[in-house]
Amino acid sequence: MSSSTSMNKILLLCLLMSMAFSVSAAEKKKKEVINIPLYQGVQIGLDLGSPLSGLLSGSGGAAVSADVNLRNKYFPTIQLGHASYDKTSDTGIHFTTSGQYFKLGVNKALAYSGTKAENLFYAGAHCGFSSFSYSLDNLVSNVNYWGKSTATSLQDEKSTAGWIELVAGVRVQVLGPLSLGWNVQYRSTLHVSNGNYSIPAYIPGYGQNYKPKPAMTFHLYYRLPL
Amino acid sequence: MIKRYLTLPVLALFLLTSCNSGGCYESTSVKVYCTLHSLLQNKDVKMDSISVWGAGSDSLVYNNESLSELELDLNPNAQETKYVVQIKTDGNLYKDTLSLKHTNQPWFQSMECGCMVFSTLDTCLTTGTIFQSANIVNHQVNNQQTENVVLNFNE
Repeated sequence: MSSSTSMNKILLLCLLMSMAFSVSAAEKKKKEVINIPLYQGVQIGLDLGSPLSGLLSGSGGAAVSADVNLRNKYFPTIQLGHASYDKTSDTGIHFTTSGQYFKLGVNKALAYSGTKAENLFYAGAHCGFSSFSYSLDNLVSNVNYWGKSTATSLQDEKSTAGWIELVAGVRVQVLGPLSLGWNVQYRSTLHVSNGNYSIPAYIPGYGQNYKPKPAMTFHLYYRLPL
Repeated sequence: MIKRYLTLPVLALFLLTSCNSGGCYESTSVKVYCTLHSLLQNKDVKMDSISVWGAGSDSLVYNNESLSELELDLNPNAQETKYVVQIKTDGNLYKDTLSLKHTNQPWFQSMECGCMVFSTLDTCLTTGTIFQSANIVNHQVNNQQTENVVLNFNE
């Protein structure tokens, strides 16, 4: 059942991408051929969603990204971030983690306007990596014939994780060099190393350890005057 | 032109989010699986009229049942777990005590599934009344539901 659900999600993404590509291709035919220089500038992005989430839930972070505009067509991107997570389950298990992550990838413009692609609709693929530690408190086992286990803790469990993200998003110029953007992501872990006695419930930069996992991010961008 | 595409990510997010769920899909049952092996027939067999309870407890795990396998919980707060096995044959009651020595370790599966206690079986002894011997075939007791112990009897 889960494999068919995953297939449906992949088909949905493919459908959305193909719609955008087909429209973009038709528009290109109408345009004249313009020779655009390779380097079109750098944009620095600031994650707005994670700090906001931190204010609301106590689990948040911060991230900064940079992408290079190549011919208004390709946008290699790098992102560095920090995320923390603090959650107590319904059964009282307390999970905390805090760690850094980075992402590398490339976005492709599907449609844009402006000489420097100030307004942009794009799709891309990113790889993420995080190495982090986490702690668990108030671990009590499920009840069996002999009862529950006494509460225990696991401190400084270590893990590494790698994942991919399929991204589709928009970026819109709001004022001079400032732009606002948001995107939706389809994340899936490629590798997660477990702790000695546990599976990490949360991966910095990825989110809760589900596979696959949808996500959404909001960014404020600043175009460097270069 | 940009506005044309604004609805696509929204639609994608809505549909993807609606499909996501974080329930517990792993087995959280951690038991020692003991098969009953006849030395005379040289095969695993079913035994009739078996009752099992934990030593020192009056709560029955099995009550006069016909079984080919025993599924037993280990005490998560002790290093040894004992079960009394009783069979009724020709109107006579026979009792054996199964002593399992083990070391325990918590295992956190997920926020939804919670915590389990996995164990490593060190020894498994019987008193010899019903079962002549016990062999540990898999020392790791976890949620994989694999055979751990073979209980041998002379019938």
